[in-house]
Amino acid sequence: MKFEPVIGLEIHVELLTNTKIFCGCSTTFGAEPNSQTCPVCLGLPGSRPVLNKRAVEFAIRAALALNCNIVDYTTFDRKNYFYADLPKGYQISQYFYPTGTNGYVDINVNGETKRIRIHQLHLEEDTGKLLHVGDILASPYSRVDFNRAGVPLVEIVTEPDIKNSEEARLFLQKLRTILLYTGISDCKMEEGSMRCDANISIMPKGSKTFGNKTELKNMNSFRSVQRGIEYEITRQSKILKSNQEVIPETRHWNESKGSTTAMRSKYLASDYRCFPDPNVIPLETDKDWIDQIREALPELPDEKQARFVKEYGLPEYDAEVLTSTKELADFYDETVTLFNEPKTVSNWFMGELMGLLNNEKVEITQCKVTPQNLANLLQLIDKGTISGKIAKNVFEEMFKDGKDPQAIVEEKGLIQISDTAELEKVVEEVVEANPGPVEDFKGGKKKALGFLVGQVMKTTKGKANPQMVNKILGDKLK
Amino acid sequence: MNFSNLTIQEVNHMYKEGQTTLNELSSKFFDRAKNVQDKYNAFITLDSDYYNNVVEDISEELGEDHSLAGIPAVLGDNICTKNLRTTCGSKIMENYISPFNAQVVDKLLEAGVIISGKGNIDEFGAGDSKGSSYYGHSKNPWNEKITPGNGAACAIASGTALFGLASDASGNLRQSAAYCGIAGLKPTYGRVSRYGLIDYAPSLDQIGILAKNARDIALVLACTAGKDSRDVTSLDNPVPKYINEIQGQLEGLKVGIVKNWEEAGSLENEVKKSFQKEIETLKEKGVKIIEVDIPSLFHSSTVTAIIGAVEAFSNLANFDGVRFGCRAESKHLHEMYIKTRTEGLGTYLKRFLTFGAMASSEKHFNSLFLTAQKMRTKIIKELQKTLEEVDMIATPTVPFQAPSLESSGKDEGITGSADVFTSAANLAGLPAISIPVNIDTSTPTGFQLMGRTFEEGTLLKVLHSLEINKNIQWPTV
Repeated sequence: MKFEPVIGLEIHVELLTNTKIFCGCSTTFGAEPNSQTCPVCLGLPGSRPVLNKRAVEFAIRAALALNCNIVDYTTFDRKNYFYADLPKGYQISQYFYPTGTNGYVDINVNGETKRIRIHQLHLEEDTGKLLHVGDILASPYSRVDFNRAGVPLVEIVTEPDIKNSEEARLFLQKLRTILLYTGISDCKMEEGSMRCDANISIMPKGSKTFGNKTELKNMNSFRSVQRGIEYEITRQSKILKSNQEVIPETRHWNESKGSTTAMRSKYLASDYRCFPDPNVIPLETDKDWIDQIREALPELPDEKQARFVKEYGLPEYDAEVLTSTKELADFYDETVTLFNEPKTVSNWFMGELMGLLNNEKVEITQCKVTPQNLANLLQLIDKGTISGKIAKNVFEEMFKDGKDPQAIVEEKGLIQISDTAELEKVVEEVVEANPGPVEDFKGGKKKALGFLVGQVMKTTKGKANPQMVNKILGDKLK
Repeated sequence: MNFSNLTIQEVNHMYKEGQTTLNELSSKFFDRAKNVQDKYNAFITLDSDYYNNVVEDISEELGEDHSLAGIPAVLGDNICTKNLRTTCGSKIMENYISPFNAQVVDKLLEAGVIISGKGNIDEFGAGDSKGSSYYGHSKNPWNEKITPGNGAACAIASGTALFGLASDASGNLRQSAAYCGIAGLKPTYGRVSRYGLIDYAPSLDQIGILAKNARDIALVLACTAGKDSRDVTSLDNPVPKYINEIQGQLEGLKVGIVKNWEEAGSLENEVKKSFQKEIETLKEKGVKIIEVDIPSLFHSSTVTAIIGAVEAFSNLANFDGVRFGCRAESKHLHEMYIKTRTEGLGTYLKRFLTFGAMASSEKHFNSLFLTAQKMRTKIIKELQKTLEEVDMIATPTVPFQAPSLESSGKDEGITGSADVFTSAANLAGLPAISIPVNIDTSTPTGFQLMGRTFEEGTLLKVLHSLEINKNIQWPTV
């Protein structure tokens, strides 16, 4: 029997507000445990939450970027459960009226656009973190760090539109790109500012009834999301093939073992007893405010990609790569304004620039080359001042120390030799020194010309204008 | 010094005329508090170091008109004080010292008030003055065999403090006032910041004022009212000079009497008679008495109990031994929770919280919690409509006289029978005052007026007018 997986994702994204959602404590990652806490985020008796407007704004911004409808009235609700990392004994979340509903993200699956619907996006507070010595069961004690408690989060829940692990990865990458564009989060999976749980079930191909699902947790990278989902699909298939039933449960992905283990059964699902928190008053989101947030949204990846194709005449592939981060796309846009040959600029981006960024593990934001310098370099090639080959060397220099290409060219004497007399002299020498290849060429071996051009370039240390060398040599050997 | 009859105005006069000094007055009051404590158990914490520090820190000019400087006051023990433990009347918080002061405490200290100690309360302020405190019953200074409600009211009636602040979630503050023959005001929801109040039901709770007369309440309300950015439910309506609002005639005022008020469960004849007497007095003063119909009024104590229990179940969830309060030792987290809460919380409270967990569970959410919320909306609407017709609604405060200590705390139910008339004001966030009546006998009771939001001044005016001719013989200690 063939099975068809049904996958929905729940993604938690920490917001980049300076302070927590209900108090003034800093949200900076990696501080000394419990150094960023106060009576409110510690849930001390008598303290009361005060909603951070910025967190609401960020949630609306994210929801708009994911094409959601924005709620006009919302409450902040208590989700009640007992756990040591939960300082108030409840988490404040938007249970009844999520900020955004009915959105979508389009992903590109093998050249086809596929739409993944967003069920909802809601705002909530993060919990603290339990720290153990080694394995949780073997640890002699639990310690709690409340620095993370009260950091604002949005939880994004997809519809079960994802069919395989590859789509899950593509979706996550696209989601991350969009959210990074909006600036609401730094979306670092390794630091936990983006976390993904997956609801996975399988059903016989063509079936309309979903199978029992498991919820997979603890996947800390795109790769582990992909691996975890694959593992779970295989595991569930084996169970169904042996005529057993998949137990609905929460499962834990173990990265080093590459397998999942059961955490808790869904039959014993918690009853969270959600009700609006009387200490956080309901919020009416003003229409004008939402419009302002909408207008302030940057051009998002899909729009940008479409514009690059339309305005710059780039191939879809180039446009997709160039818009993969906002910073890269902005860099490209600026370079094109200064040197208006979009495809040439794109080639340089996709070849030289991104190659060096990848090799040297440098982010575009830290790149020493400026759009202006890159445009200058391209102009030097365009004017024939340097050859394309030399330009690549110059670019490496620029990448290393951020110098202006003109200065590098002058300093190193790299200006292209385009003087006919000078080139003729070199050609003469080369022809004289290589009678064999000259004879070969005259005898019909066209390939020999390449060798002779190469000799000229070698003599001039690559500075000879290759088109001119070709012409002079050709004329000479006629 | 005759402690029992003192008012803020009189103490200010004594300071001004040099009849006493801060040191003399404060030490006499503290000595008296200790004596009263032995007799009536009014306080959970009386700490001489804390007391002396507070007195030493007073730098305000004494004896000014309307000043609270050098005035001894008592706080219910669910109001947070830095450097002085806040127990909530519970074992689980036996040694808890808050790192911050409640907003009202900061305001009182700034005004130079002497915080004499922390008054006994029902555990976490839950219930209808049941005497469920881990620290034992307080006794009523009018009659040691009956309950005074909370310890703050007891402290004031016995002359150890001139006023007190305490919480009122279903009427406990007003009931205590009625039992002790003093006045108690629960202000409009949002009038006074709840920052630093360890409440159990945040949508119902409000910090109120206990004192012997309208002038004193007016001064304390002016000091404590106002917007606080740390409590988003506090409101920034202007704070009037309440002391000026209490003056004047009652003529033309319209007071509503609920049509079927006499049908209230456990209404005692004594209470009925004194209520009618008070109504007669109001009529003599030119007040227009109008019969009003509030069909859902008698559901308010049940509705309050359901909503209060659900909120309390959630609000008290973090009294679990993880970060503060008592902790029972155990190797496993959930076992620790269960042991800590089993040992740390009292029987009535546990029953109340269990009920709250049930009322909010998936199975009962719609039939209990949601129904209660709908009923709350209905009650609010009925009250609003009535208050378009009349200026205030009069009822007895409690349908019965202060219960005996033997009977109180034995009530097995969740709904407080003393809350019948008081809890509607908590549901609707309306201001309500308990005016002492029957204080010429030794079993005082209360006359309640519920007014429009932010019209505390009018309620105080009625209190002021009714108290003028009363010459009270306070119980001797």
